[in-house]
Amino acid sequence: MIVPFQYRQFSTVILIALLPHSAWAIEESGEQNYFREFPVVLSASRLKQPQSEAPNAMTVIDREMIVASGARNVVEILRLVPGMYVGYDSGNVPFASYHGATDQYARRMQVLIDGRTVYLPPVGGVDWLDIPLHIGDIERIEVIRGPAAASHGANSLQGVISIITRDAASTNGASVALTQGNGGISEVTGRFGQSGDDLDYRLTLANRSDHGYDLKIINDGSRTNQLNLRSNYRLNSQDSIDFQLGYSDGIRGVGNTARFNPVGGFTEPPREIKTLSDYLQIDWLRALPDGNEFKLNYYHISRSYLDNMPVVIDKQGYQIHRHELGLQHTLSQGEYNRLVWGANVRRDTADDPLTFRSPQALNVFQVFVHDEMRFTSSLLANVGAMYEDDGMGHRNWSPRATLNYHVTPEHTLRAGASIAYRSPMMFEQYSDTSYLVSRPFKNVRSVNPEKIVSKEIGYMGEFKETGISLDARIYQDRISDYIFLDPYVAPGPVLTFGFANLLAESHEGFESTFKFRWSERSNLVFNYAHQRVSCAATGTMTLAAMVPRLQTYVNQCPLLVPADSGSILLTQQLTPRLQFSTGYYHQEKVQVLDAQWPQNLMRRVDMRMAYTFGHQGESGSGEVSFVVQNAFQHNYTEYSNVPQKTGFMFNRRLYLNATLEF
Amino acid sequence: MTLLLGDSSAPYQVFTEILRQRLPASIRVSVQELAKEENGSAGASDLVVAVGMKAAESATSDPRSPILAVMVPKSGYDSLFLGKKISPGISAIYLDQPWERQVDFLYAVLPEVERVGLLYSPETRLEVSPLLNSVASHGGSVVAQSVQSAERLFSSLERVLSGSDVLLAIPDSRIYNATSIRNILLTSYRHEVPLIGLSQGYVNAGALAAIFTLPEQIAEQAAKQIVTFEQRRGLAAPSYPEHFTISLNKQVARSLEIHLPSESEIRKRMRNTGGAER
Repeated sequence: MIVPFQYRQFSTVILIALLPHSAWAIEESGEQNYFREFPVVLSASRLKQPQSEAPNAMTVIDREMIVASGARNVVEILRLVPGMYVGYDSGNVPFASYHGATDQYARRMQVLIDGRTVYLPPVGGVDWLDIPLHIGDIERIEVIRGPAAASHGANSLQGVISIITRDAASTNGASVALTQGNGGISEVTGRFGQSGDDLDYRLTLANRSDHGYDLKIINDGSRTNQLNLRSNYRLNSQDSIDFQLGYSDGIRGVGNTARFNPVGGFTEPPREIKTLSDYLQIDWLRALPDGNEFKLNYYHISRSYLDNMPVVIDKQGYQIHRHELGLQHTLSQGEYNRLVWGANVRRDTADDPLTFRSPQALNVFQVFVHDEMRFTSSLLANVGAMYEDDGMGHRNWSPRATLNYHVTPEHTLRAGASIAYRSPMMFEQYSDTSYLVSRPFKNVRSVNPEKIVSKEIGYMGEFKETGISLDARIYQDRISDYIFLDPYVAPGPVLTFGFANLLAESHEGFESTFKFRWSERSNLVFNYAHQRVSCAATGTMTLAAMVPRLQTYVNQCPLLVPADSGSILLTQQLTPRLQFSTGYYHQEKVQVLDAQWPQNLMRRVDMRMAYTFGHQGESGSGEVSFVVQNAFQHNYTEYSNVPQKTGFMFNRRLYLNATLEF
Repeated sequence: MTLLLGDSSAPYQVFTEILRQRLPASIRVSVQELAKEENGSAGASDLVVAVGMKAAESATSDPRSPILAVMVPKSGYDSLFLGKKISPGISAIYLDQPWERQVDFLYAVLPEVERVGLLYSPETRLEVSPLLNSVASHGGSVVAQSVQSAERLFSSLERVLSGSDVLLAIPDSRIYNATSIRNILLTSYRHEVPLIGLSQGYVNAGALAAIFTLPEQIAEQAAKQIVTFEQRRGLAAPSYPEHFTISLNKQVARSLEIHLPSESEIRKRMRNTGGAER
């Protein structure tokens, strides 16, 4: 940290020229400084909504916290969200799920990067490792806890993870960063950016790899190359175009040397698969000085993978594409009303011969409206709804209403209710793997969207004198028509898996975030969640003989979430150049629905020490940091869904990073 | 009297229009524009009202009548005329706000500010001691950071913002211009440091607040001085504008979770600390 000098000691009369004029543009007549017209920079969509006026509980993780956490991937940061579960199917398949997970394809949250939906058909999960997104390019992560379909659309059943990346103008100059650690951790990142009169851009190139978990029977290393470009071009003082593209290709280890299937006698050999993800996004923004804003955007994302292991047909692999065109109009009607409305059309396609008989396509249409009404300076209402046609024949309205009452400007109460839906994923409706000898999937029933009815009461308080803030809520979520496995006997006879709306889940709990900044140099964030869940069998299974099996799931349902979980992140600036931070993560016994065994109590401590040198942002400056994850304990048990992974442990990780600016 | 305009853009037109409305019919106004090169006919006037720095410079190049310079920043006026003898007499109504008023405004909007950030360039010409004293009298201090070149604005910004509670814009187009404002606002917003601007334009762009005097407000004050001049044949001492406008960006305030007082409350607080209009 650089401490600017205090000008008081120089209380002279006039600041005098130090440099020749050539470094600067020509000055015009003096009064022009007061008459100049400027473009609208901080327009409605750039301004973040204050948490005390948001219609949902929200956790905001900013750059400071991301850096302090020492995390190398985005998923790890999400441990700082109360109620969030972070797990690994293997070292290269991380996943995050809010309020319990059924499996590694956490599909009940909307995940957005700069407004781009990144969960993917056919299964609705997010390939966190593959997304062309560099953790260092993230400005902040906003996690909406609770359904937000009214403003964020499909899949926002339990919440929304919205990742906002740094502006195109945020990088000026070049930098190189190197990371090396145990477990094969290695990363090289190069950055370059410039901001000019009409055009800004930033470019990030990275290569990262690790060996995955230490358990030798699982082949879960990964190597990824990625590129991200973001640029912003100003057409005039009102219109600008934001252009982004990203690319990542990777090699992923897959296979499990101990995985033995009694029916097929088949071992999954360790091997490498190739993955490729890319995106292109263009946003046209018209921001008017009166607070109105018009945004038109288009994006395309794609992901493919190729596995050379012959199974039934020559090669395994898939190709997924999503195109979306969106329009959003923000109308500020004075101080007291703000209306946002818009529409999106989306086309999702999946060419996945091993999952579907033929290429699949879904055309989704959404229209939404959201109104923020300020009745008095202390009472605010947010009312909104989204109408969605999911392209599978389901049409639903997802409404939401919230009242925020500022008891004083520093203390706010919030009460809200909402309904949201999750449409079945392509896999849940259209999968056909009946060629498989063991565990084939072929859905024959019609699956309806899952529905959530959510209610919550929240409190947000700021105690400015003490540097303390508190955000707490109690909630009750009822999910009905929960989509679950429905086995049946197909001609063969083969036990085949389909899907049906079989369960109801009821979630209740308390979540809180306590922040304490007791000096400019010290910051503490404490998150805590207490959760309770219960399930009931509500649908009819095809095979009566399977009902006890469903009942087994219903019985273990309370373990779907840890009763208590939390995290603490402490940041301390030791000297102007030396920063220490530590994170503590606590998660009681939990069982992902498809896991073979519960995960026992997890307690993990991460620590980071960083030393900065030079003048921040100037050539020759930089940082050296050291991170240890899981510092005080040899290991803890991770999620595991197959018997062979009983010893799936996370061992201590140490890594060193050096960054140099040019 | 002769009205000498430095420019024909909107602010000068508004000034002219309001001045004509406020002056009694007995005072004859002949309007000249610098760009139109109508030299020679200015000689016979009782008083030349020069609007803007260019007009003031032009009027004083060959002074034949007393000059009232309006819509000129104090620093610009001082650099041209301070200590110089202009025989038929010269005075001014400045465009900018006195530092005391500017600082009182800042503290009326943001009472809890401790460190006022300031960016200056090697070309900045400002009398800073009243600023330092005013901020000190509110219990704060000024954190000043020089910007050595346009290319280094970025690192200077990061540096000043990491040690400031608010950024105070100054009239220096090397720092604050249509190109740089984007970077300044985005970076300060990221640091959650509000910007206090110099005009409505700043507030439209994303500054939290601004205090400024509009051309119409200057015109009203000028009209009064012209009438007084006609009666007493003498010019008052150069002065700051009596009236000012306050502009607040409520959307930005809300997003930064700043609880803005109302405009009347701000004016009341300013009166209590003595910086308000009389």
